[in-house]
Amino acid sequence: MPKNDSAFQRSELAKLLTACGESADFLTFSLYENSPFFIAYFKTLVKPEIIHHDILPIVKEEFSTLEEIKEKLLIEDLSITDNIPDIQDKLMTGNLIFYTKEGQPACLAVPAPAVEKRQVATPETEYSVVGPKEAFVESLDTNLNLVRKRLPIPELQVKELMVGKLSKTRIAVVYVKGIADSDNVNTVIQRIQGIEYDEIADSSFLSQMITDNKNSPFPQLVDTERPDRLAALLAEGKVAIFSDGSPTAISGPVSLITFFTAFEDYLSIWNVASAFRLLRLIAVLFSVLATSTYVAILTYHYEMIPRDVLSLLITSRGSIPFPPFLEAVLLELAIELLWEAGARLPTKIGQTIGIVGGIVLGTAAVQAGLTSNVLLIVVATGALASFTTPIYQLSNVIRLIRFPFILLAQLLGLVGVAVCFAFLMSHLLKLTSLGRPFLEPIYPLRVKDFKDSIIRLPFSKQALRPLQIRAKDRVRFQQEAPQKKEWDIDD
Amino acid sequence: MIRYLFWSIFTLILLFNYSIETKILEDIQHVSAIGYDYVDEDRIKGTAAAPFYPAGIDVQPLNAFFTAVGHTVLDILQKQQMESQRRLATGRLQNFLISKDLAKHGVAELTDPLARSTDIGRDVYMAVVDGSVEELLTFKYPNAPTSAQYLSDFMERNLKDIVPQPTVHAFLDQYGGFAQDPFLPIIGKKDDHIQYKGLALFKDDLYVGELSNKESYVFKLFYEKTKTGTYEIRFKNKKYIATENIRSKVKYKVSGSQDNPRVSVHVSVIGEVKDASSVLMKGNTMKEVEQEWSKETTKRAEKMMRKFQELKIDPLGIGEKVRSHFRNFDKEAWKDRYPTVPVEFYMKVRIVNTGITE
Repeated sequence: MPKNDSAFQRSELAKLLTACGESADFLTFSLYENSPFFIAYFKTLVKPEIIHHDILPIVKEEFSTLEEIKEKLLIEDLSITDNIPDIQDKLMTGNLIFYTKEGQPACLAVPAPAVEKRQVATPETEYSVVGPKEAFVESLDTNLNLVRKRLPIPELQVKELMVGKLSKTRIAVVYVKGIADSDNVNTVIQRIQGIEYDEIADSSFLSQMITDNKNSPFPQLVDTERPDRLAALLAEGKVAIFSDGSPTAISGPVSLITFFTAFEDYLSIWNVASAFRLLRLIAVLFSVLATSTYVAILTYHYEMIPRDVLSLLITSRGSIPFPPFLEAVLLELAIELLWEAGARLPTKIGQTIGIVGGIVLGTAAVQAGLTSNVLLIVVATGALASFTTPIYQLSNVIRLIRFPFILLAQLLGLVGVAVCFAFLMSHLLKLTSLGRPFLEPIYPLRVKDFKDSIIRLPFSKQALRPLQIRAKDRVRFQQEAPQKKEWDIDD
Repeated sequence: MIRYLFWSIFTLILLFNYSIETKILEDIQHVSAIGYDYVDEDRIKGTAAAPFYPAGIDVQPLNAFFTAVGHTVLDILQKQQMESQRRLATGRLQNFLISKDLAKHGVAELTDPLARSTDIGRDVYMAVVDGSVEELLTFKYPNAPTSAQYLSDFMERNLKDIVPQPTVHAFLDQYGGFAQDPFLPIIGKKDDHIQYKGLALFKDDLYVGELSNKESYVFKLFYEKTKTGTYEIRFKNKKYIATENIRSKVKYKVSGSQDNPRVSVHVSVIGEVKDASSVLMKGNTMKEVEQEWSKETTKRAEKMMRKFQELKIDPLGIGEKVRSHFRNFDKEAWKDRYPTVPVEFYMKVRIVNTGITE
């Protein structure tokens, strides 16, 4: 035993090693008998191949100082340090440390991390039939790689931050310098720095912590799992936030229309894309208003029903023991149950649930005289319509806000629907995304921004970036003056 | 926090205390047609057709009628209410009938409640019945599940093309407007069908005369833009040609001074020959058909106009057109002058189609 062993025992490093040693996966041993150097690492964090091929064969020789080992090892990013928190971080991120029990308690950290990661797969929630099929994975570096591949310019800047007292999650704020407004970037960085939380599991945690209105059901930052979509958002001048361990990136500032935008819109011809975007908007409006309008009209405004529909409605409602309100709420709840059950179950069982719930339950409910066919059609179409939103978060909101509409339709009829709609609109008008108006370009009215909102004009008309983001450089590309074509008799 | 709580409770109390009367669709009995017969000087008999819809899929509605005698429309409705199984509601009223006898005694009293009511739609059709309204409404017609449905189809899908907009609100507008007299279609029961018989002419709210169904086509042609109407033309050698109106336009021109106004009515028709089996279509024949068509129609229109002027009624709304032409229009003077105002009819016909065989 070396004579200054007890001095080592009292050092900070020894305390750290003892603390780590309480875990079963922590190893510490000397290189060979009577070697002055010891190795310590978490065996669950390092890659055995690196240790066996690149480290142990080399350090078998006798060395007298850590510097000598450092020179021999053919591994980048080696460091010698005596800073205890630093050593702790290195140990926790998959480094081996070499230490000696004599003299100064300095350590050589050798990185040999074992990184477990999923292969880049196809997008699940934002699937598109045509176009790129890459989706983000849980590894931050892979995700950044996917984005950099699409924007290979030095102006694409990454600011890394650490959030979470326990999780120590790496957060990357990504933006294109010179395009993104520095106000937006600073707001994002400031808000992330202000986060006090122990464990950040996903970027949606961040999204909730840094949004403007934390009580609004509406998401104010868009989340995407598509690198192509994110690259487009960055090029537009938005700021993106990645969180290590999360396969979705969030981005802002956005407007409500962004949530109706599928990336597929940019992959098809502008007029086709515009038609489908309008369809989505109408579908969502229908989904929110259909059931409540049914309740209001059947309870108060029978005068509005056309003559030919009247007998159809009366005969289908005739045997139902509930008033329209109860009937609608029961059926809506049944659909919500199906939805929730389907979402919690694996895909294969989920399909069975769909068949059992949709077909068996629906048919049985009508035959038993508990609901009318007409309402069943209305509710099912409404549910179907709410699935058309490309961003999953928004379809959840639509599921929710249907219910206040139905309640007010029962209390006040169509006036109630109008009142509820007015509340909804005033709430949306008040919302902001990173301080930028959420309902732009509708309010404040920015006619030029309509080029890519409820409709999408061709790329040649998209020469300017949207006003809402306040991009530093508004010009996307210089538009050439169209060449005047000489008319020719042969044409 | 307390303020927040106060306001939310306040809102909830406001919302839940304020209860409007619900009118759940299947819990009320919808009056589809309503009609009135003349009983004596101050009593009328009302018949309401309110079909009952049994529950189930693919079931036919059942006929249900309620008849009562009373002084006013609402008095009758109240009496009818005492018999029905559910509350009677007039929000889906589609047809409003008045017997000819009653029309001779004035209809203003009957239409007044309709004008005031908020739940009467804009598509309530109105007609004068030749004969008993009760009989027409309560008859079991073989070609429709309920008489109300037959009547609705008949008025909405058929009569609309023959008569210029026979709705209650059009009637009230003409009645209330200054220089136009109302008109209504006359329908009646013929064996086991409902039949259109002509156009009833009113002076203010009193029935004063009628046009035959043939004349009513001419009336519609000179009254508004049309897209329908079949006409029979007597050609040379007593041969008949059937023509159809594809579309027509009408224009009123007023000239002269206020003391001596002249009115000319110009109609241009684009038509087609439908049936001309006995006439060979060649060369100038088409021109002759056009001329004949226009000559015959203007002759009928002039005859019709003479009738209007004799009865001192103005269903075409000529007074309205004259009024809009002159500044400081003298209403009283116009009333006296109307029977003597010269009205000329011109018709321009263009036949564009004679069928596929030629």
